[in-house]
Amino acid sequence: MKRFLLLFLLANVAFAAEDQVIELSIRDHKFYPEVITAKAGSKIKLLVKNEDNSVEEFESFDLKRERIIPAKSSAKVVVGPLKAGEYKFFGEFHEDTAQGILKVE
Amino acid sequence: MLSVFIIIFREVFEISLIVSIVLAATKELPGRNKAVGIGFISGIIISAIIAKFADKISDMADGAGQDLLIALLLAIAVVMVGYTVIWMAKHSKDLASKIKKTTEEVAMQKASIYALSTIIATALIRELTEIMLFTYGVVVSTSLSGAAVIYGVISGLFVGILVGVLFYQGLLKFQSKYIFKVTSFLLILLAAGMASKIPNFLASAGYLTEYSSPLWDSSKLLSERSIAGTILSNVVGYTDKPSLMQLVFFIVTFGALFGASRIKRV
Repeated sequence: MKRFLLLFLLANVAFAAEDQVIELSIRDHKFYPEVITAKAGSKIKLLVKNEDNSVEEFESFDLKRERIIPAKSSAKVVVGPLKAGEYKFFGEFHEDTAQGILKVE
Repeated sequence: MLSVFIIIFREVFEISLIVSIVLAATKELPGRNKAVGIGFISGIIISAIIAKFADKISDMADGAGQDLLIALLLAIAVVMVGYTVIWMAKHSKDLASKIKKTTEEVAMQKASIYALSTIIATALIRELTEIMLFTYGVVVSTSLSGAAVIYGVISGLFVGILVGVLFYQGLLKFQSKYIFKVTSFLLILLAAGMASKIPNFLASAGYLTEYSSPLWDSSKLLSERSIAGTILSNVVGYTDKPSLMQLVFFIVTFGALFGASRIKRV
């Protein structure tokens, strides 16, 4: 019983330290979903899939990231660890429609 | 068409700022025009090649190839600016004199020309690849007519370059007004600023993510998105939410270059 508890605790620690993976799509120059959520304190891997026929640039001043994603391609962008808050991101080439928020709790 | 113009102008504007500083700071350097010419041409050619292979580069290193490439371009630029600053400090007397140069000095001058070319080329590559990919994307996917796209690109280029020229002339006037030379100091700030951007690209690729949280947020005072903020960002690497890692990169680069340019040796 004690051994099981110890293993259980260790497993929780391991999960807490693990990177979070969030998937994001760009379709018709919009983000799907437009709002994504993550936990504070551990790294976040954003998997951004550009499903459009044209290149987009994933950019964020709040997250300090910019990445060109060619048409029909994916990009893995690492952010964090972040403090709680709202972080805006956008598609620089279609800023009027491609807007999103990363909510960190 | 307006959105095309705005995006092209923004990118060209960023290049113009850096090129203007380098040009103003190296006005007294012999062969500087040739260096800039070489830098421009090689920058344009390499950008076209990279834009063509954007897919393959993005796929490299698990999708982080692009970030590592930009980090590398910035690092090369920092080293080249550092080299130029140290070279200018060492030869400040020679630059003023008209005495014939020894063969060693001629060779050193050639090296400094290539350093300048590299600074210009790396700055161009960083922004031109974006411009080329964006323009291609617009042409392929949009309902805008070819003429509208061309007009947007050309006017964006024109206004961006115009602003750069004005900035350059402003810098020259500022320099001649004040006795102490701002040239090397500007270059050192430029290099430190570029170095401070490197941690962002490394972190984006998953490397060096420690000490990446912002130490403060000065966006209410001066937002990075504002015009003044953009200028400061490209000139001295201003960011409204700097991380400790960024500050370390900035201070180390600044200290190393400032110190090296001050050493009085043969």
